[in-house]
Amino acid sequence: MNEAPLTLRMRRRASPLAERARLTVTSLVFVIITAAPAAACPDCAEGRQARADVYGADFTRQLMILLVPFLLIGAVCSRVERIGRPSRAPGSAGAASRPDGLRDAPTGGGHSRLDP
Amino acid sequence: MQATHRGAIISAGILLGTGMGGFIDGIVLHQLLQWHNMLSSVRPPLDLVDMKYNMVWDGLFHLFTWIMVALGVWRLWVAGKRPEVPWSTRTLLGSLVLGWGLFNFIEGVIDHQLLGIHHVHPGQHQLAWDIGFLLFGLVQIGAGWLVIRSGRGDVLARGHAAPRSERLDPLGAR
Repeated sequence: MNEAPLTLRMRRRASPLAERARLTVTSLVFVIITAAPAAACPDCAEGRQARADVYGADFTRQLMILLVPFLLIGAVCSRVERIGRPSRAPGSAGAASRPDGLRDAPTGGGHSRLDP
Repeated sequence: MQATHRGAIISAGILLGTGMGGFIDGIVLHQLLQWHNMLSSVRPPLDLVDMKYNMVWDGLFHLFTWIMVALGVWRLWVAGKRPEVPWSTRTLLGSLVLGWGLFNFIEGVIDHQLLGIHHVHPGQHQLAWDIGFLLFGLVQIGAGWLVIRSGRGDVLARGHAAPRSERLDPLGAR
């Protein structure tokens, strides 16, 4: 029954400066405790070993292997990019007749064999 | 004028689909399920050093998938500014699925079957998982292709589509 007023009285007594100091110390302790394990592993023995292995003699070869599918997709995209592209022949009638340089739809000539 | 340069939007969609599919692969298979790590057949991740080794290679994989997404966004941005490119939702959606499937298939054939640097789910039934992965890729390619085909009639450039009210009510609100 008497606890609630007591708590209120105690809270009222803490000055803003003391409150800030307590918060700072708590934060500092928390950061030191949680940062220690996090800082340990990038530079722990296992971390150094893993880094040495990754950037060892096989790094370039394995990087090339990793890149191959992406490069093939890039090649496919550069081929697909041409589907339906209007022909850019300088003397074409479409180019000459339109002041904005755009052409009317191609009548089949601009389609690639890849066109779905 | 009919916008017929579909290749611009298809190639952007393939790049985006590759990147986004790669992210799903990396997040779900590599990180959440802890399968399919990049060099897990070269260095099986059985201890901390080998796990960290594979983690770096998974990170590089994510880096390249991010580059594919960035390239896809750039190509889509460029395509959106060109009046000869049809602004077709079906073409873009189909290309996204096609790109994801294409990447799964190519990556599966090269990394799982030819080089064997990793498998989808290493262990007793790894071949079955690898073949399932390839089949999933082929299904995605087929589905993407069909959706792209369905958008063949979309010939309006960006900014020339019918207003939303007309699309919802083709007869017009009379």
